[in-house]
Amino acid sequence: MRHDGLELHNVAETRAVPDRDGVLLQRVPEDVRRDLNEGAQDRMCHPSGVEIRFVPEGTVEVTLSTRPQRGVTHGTVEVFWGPFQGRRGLDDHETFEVGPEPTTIEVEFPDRLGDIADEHVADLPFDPGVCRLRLPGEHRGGHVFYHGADGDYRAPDAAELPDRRYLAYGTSITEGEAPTAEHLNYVSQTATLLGADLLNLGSCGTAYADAAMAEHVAGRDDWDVATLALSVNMVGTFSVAEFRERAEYMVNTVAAENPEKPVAAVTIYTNARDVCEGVDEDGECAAFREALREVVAESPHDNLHLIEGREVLDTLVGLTPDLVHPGDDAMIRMGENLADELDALLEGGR
Amino acid sequence: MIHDGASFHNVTDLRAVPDESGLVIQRVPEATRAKLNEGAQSNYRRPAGSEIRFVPEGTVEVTLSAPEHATEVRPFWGPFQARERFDVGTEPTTFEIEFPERLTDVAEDVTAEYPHHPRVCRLVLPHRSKPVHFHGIEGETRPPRDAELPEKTLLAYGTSITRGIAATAPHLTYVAQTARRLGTDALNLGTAGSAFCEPEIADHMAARDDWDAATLALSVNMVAGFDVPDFRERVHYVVDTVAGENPEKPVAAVTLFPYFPDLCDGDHEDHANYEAYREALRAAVADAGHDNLHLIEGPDLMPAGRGLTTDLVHPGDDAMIDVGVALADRLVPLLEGER
Repeated sequence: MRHDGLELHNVAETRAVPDRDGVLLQRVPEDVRRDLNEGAQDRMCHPSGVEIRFVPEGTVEVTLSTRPQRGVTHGTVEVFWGPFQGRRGLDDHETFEVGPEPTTIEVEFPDRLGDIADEHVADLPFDPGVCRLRLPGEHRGGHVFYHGADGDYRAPDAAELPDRRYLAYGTSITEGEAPTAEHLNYVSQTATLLGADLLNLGSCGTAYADAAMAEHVAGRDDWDVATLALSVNMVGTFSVAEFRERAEYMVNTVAAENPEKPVAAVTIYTNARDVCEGVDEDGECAAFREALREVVAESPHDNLHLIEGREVLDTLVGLTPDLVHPGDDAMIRMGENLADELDALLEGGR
Repeated sequence: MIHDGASFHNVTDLRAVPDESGLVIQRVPEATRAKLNEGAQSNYRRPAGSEIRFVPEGTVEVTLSAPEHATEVRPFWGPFQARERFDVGTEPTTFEIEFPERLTDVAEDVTAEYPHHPRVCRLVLPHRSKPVHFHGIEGETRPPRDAELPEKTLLAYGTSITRGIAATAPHLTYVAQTARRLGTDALNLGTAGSAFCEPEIADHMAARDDWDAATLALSVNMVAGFDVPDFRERVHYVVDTVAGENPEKPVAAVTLFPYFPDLCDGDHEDHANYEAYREALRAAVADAGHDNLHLIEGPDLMPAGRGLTTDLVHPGDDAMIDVGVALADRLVPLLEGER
């Protein structure tokens, strides 16, 4: 959305909060957020995949603060210029620590990028003139408030951004709980490989396939391909029958309202239940996967596809020791595998 | 090298230095280091792709320091990336390590698939720090056995790009990314701003018996400081010596990775003649004429522009990953064919 002359990417509403300066950046509109399960209401205020984007003329200052969550008071904002990762000096990336007090970030276009020949710029999904302040999602930070921007800048225009968008819903794995940085999340890696922009609606611990989320995703007109990763959060929380009912509503609602866009339901990613002895003796995880397969098979929608989570995460290398959350190398691998799957769907149209 | 119940990976010397406590972790032996240019001398006293590896029994305490600048280390358990990071201060800092319970439940047939066994604690040292000193390990440990480690090892020489200076974490350098895809270990001899291809580093790499394939990324550091004939002479010696003395092992020379002269308009000042350095390396490889010596074009490993950092020299994470994918693809057939 546009706000203050900037593009707030993956932000659906900016909301004033009592007793706080600035506006809270949230990933879904407030009327949607209120209808989600309680945990997801919090998660949608964490800025996973959120970027503040603008094209500066000279120096620009942007002021942000965090509202600490679960003891995390500070987060790191990473600066990218189009596809280029910001760098400052030999050993440092261009990053800024933001804490509970308003913190002003100062950026200026790196001159060298202005010399890139036009034919190379044309090949890049993002124009190098677009400053992207990538906010810390998941447990890498708290909720983030925007306080204002100073300097000469404009919002990027469509030609300076990728021409397609990838929307992702899922659990903490999708929100990006364990990678070192936002751009290493599997959905970010997938988007990078597809040359697409990412809309991340991952919902840590709370991806319960709420009807309000299904209707919100279905009603958006700003994405070209979507994955719905359903949902290890529901194992042990919902019965297989309840899961099936919710998943069925979500995948069919999203696919039905977007018949020209490929929608992929993704079964539960490889986790401890698959590889540890005695963790899932009842085979619940397998039953959830089977339920999702049946839902897709029975769906009347040609644009709805099934992707097997165990084929996307086809190795344990790079998982964290909880054997659920992918670390960096597992995320990178998932991105490669998922991009291959989605590329085929996008090429095929639907 | 083995020391104090641990295996120090990509470490060839642990040395006491005057007026400082502990042993400095060093990537090449002192006799080699002393003969290199000043920048490389400093670089090889900084870890990069270096790990302290051990199999613990119960809780283990490790003490490290980083006297010039505080840093952090990241534990991995075999292939698994632990969440914690341990701060290492300028004074000796002790941290505790214990095997994660959950990993004991992983079925044996699953662990057998992975190049590093999960019971091996790998304390991955930083890749862009100042020197790190080792002070000791308390508790019961043993070095990992051969069967708990990858069968093969990739050796990589090059500049700051090889050392991985602009990767966010040490496991994200292109060398680490390549090795992960190959299922090998990696020995990173990248040296920032100072990969000047001295005969002594060539002789050192040629004489080592602990690698199975090598990449020599030669060398954007020499474009501004060495003329083309000098460059050609030095790189000829490196590729000829490393490949010639290891005829059964594939060695790949990599021309300059894509950087600002490839992408930008302008006269590029000291870098105007950059293509001549690629050509000189091609010629050196052809002249050396070893069957096990291969040429890889740097620009083939990285889509122009994507994921570089804003200096348009150093790959950021996405470009490092791209290089890892492409380089592993090139090395797989070479490793399978052994040459």
